[in-house]
Amino acid sequence: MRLYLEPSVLVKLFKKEPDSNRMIDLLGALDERRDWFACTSRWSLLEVARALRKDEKPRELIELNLKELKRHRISFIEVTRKILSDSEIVIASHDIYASDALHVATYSHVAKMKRLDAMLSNDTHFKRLGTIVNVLTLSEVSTSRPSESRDPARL
Amino acid sequence: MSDEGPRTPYYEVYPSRLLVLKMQAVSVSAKLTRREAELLDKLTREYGFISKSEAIRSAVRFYLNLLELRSKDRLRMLQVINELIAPSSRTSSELVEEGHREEDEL
Repeated sequence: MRLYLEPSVLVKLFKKEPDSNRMIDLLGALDERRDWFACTSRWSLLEVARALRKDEKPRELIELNLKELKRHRISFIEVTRKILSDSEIVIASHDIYASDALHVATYSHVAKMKRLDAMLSNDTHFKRLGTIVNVLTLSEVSTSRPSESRDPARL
Repeated sequence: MSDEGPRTPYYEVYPSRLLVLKMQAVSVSAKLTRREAELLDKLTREYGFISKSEAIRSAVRFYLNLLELRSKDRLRMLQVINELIAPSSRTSSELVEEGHREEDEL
């Protein structure tokens, strides 16, 4: 599986809420399996930091959480002039937040080159952009290996 | 290395994923804020450490062990720490969405 990780799923790693354990399993699969790939915009780190700050996490914990994120096999895509100008076009034609537009533009920019399957997000805004971005939610992604899911002993 | 000369004392790191049983001791100095030093004093007494250095060594070993856990175990531990230190009922989607609204208002 090759995914673009949108910030709302990254914040899940540091919260106890529905699907947060699935997200931990997904990061584990990314670290252990060569056939898995994930990327996100470098901007996502700021969004994660802001979300944790809004959640009243102390500075030391926010810093530790961000260091943890960088320790996994996630590629952080630079915010380039091209991505910013593509984001402007997305905002002009769709009613979405500036940050969402940046993620759409980044996804579109790297989707072909990185052979991405989908953007992983729990943010409903992206569903409206179905034709531009293929969106998957955590409940739609399985981290079990094909042989595991066919093994009746594991069911 | 030569066997002659005074030997540096050895300290054992308790069995863990660090996989370091014995190592030569080195001194590391660190500056703390006055508040941190006061808390360290208090916790050294409360937990019965023989000195502040011993309390600091224990804290460092604990931290190193945490960071050396396997990827998924480390994330689970960090998730628990986040929930214990700053529990909240707001979901990740709500928090990210709030951030987006702020940016757009700017």
